[in-house]
Order: sequence, then structure tokens, then C-alpha cells
Amino acid sequence: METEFSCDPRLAAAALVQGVVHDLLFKNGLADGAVPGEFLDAAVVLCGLGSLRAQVELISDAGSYWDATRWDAAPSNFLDHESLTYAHALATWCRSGNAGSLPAELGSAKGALKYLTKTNDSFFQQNLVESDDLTIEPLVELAASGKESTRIAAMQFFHPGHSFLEQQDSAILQNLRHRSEHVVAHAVSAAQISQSANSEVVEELRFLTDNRDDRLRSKAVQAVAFMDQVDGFVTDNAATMLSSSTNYVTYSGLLALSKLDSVSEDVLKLADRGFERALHTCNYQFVELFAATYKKWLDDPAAHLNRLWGERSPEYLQMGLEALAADLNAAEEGE
Amino acid sequence: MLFLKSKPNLDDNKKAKVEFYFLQIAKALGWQRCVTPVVPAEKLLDLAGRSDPLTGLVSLLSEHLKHDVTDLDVRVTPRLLATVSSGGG
Repeated sequence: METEFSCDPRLAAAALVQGVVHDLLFKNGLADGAVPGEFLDAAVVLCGLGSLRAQVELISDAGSYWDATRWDAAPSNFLDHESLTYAHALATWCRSGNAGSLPAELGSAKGALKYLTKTNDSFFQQNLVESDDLTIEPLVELAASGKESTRIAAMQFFHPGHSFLEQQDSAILQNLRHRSEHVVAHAVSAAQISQSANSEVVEELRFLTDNRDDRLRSKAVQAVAFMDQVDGFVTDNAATMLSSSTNYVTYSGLLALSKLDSVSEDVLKLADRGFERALHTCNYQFVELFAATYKKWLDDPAAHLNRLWGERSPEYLQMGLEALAADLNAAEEGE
Repeated sequence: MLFLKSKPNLDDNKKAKVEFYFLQIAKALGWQRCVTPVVPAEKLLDLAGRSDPLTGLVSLLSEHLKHDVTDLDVRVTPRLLATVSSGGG
């Protein structure tokens, strides 16, 4: 902290508050690794120290990760304005709802506080905090019967290998068919993380691979791939995703297809076009993945590339063969 | 009669994330620590504007959070470091 307090006491004091709260989290086992900034922001507000943070609005120009439901994999550097406002409202609601303690800068927090007071619509409740043993059973119940945010938060606790798997699968299935796209997206993650083997859950996931929403179908395709449940319907949908101009859609489709040992001529043609586009745009991550996948599908991938580009595009042929060789070298080094 | 419904004004994903984070934090810190009265910005700024802001602020935070900060070393400006590096020639 290079600034003098006299230069900007507000920022300096806010930084000190964050530092001490970080220390508090660390000493209570909440900061084993790096603490996401948004988690620290939430802690500052919940501990009643967010009054200065409310006066500062942080805006990032960096693009966000495509899948906003992966809180663990892609946390934000800080709570955005909407989330910070809601955090203040929720923290105030816990303190018996005195609107007078809400920061004046966050005008819409009053509306959120009024909503909470009227509806009690929050996963965060005193009884859950104070229950000595937060078991999976009540969480499964909340995931099946709560309002949207409660369903989503409760599903974060889903995991494989317990005695309530049937109820857990039932909750996942309900949420895969929910009207809220956010609930559906989290249900896809829950199905994948809990490695659900329920046939209805798997069927619903396969059905979602045809969804119009790029994010949802990408998540569903990836989940089905990780669960080794790719069938003909998913294969067709994954193959059409290869022609998308959005990277995460293409990647998801290719990931699912890479699980297969062989594909039809039609799918191979779509993959050829995707491979060519990856070479054209110099997307080396995709080039490597295509090369590895072709070696899995084809007995002689080099001959296939020769037929494909030998006369028409020698430069693509050379790059494609190099990618095949590089992947072969990497595989040999790994053995 | 038409009622204007109040609403949280953020999507389900963001709402759930705040509630989930709050639960994790409160589980680790205890409910009571999370319902102590809010420290007003004016109080923090008043302490920050005094001649020895660090002592006052750290003491307030420690008391408010019921958190021992005796092992926490806070320095505002690394003057000593600047002096050493500029006088080394």
C-alpha cells in the first residue's frame, strides 16, 4: 500500500478493512488457496464492514468466462454492482432488516431488502448456519422444493457416494426441466459432479445438447462427454457445434466427439471443415485436439489429410501433419 | 389493485452465489460475528483522518470482528525501504 492516508483516506481505510478480513478468513480456514476477490467482498459486507466498499464501484473490461455458473473455476475479481447491492441487502436482512443501515450509494438495495422481508427467499438462513451437521438430506430437499436461488445454492453440495442418491437424482431431474435457465445450467453441473447414472437424468442431459442456448448446450454436451454417455443424438449435435464461430461451442462439440473411437463419414466431413478452420485461424489448441482425435478415429490419419489437402491446400497439409507428429511425440514422451 | 412488486434486481445465478458465499463465511466465522451492527463509513473515515490512523483502525477492526491481530504487521508507506535503496551507491 503505497498511498498515504492523507492522500485518500477512504481507499486506504477500505484496503485495510479488506486486509484484516482476509486475515480473519485465513485464520478460520477459509483461505487455504487464493481467496477470490468476490468472496472477500462478500465477507467484508457480511461482517458489517462494507460501508466504504459501497462507495467504490469496480468495473473490469476483461471478458468473463463463458460459463458463469462455474463459481469455483472462474470466480470474479470482485462482486459486481448488482451482487454487491444484494449482498448489502441480505446482510441487512440478517440484522433484523433495519433499512437505515444500508449505504445510501446503493439505492436499489432497499427494494431487495423489502423483497427479502416479504418473501424470506434466501438460501442463507440462520438455521442452516447454526446446524451443527449440514447433511445432504435437507440440502436435497431444498434443491427440489426451494425457490430458484435456493435450488442453485443447495445443488453446490451435491456429490456422489451417499445414501440419498435417488432423491438427489430426482432433484437434479426436476431442475434440468426447470423454467430458469440458471437452475438448468447448475443442474447440468450437479449431474456431472455427482456422476449420476440415472437413465432419466442422462436422457434429459442428452436432450439439452440440442438446446438453442449456446451455453446450455455446450454445458450439456460436456457433461454427457465426461459421463461417457455420448449416443447418436449427442454425436449429431456435437458435430453441428464444430461449425460454430464461438470457441467454447466448438470446443464442447469436439470434446464430446473425441470420446468416440470412430465416427460416420458425415461427421468426419464436418470435423474436416472444423480442422481446416482451426488451421486457418491459427487456433493451435484446437489444431492439437483435432490431431489427437483424428488419430483415435482413423487408422491412417496422415493418409486422410493427404487426400483432403494434398492438392488443394498443401500448407494445411503440412501443418496438419506436423500436428499429428507433435501429438505422437507427446504421447511417446508420456509413456 | 395493481401492486408494484419489489425484487432483488439480479439474476438467479448471482443471487444464489451471494447466498452460498454468505453461508460458507458464516459457517466458518459463526452467526454472531455476522450480525454485529454495521460500522458506518463516517466512523472509519474519522479514524483514518487522525494522526495515527493505523492504530485506531486496526484496533476498531479487531474489536468489531473479535479477531486477534497482534501478529499482523501493517505499514503504510515503505519509507525505510526507499531510504535504503536510494542510499546504496
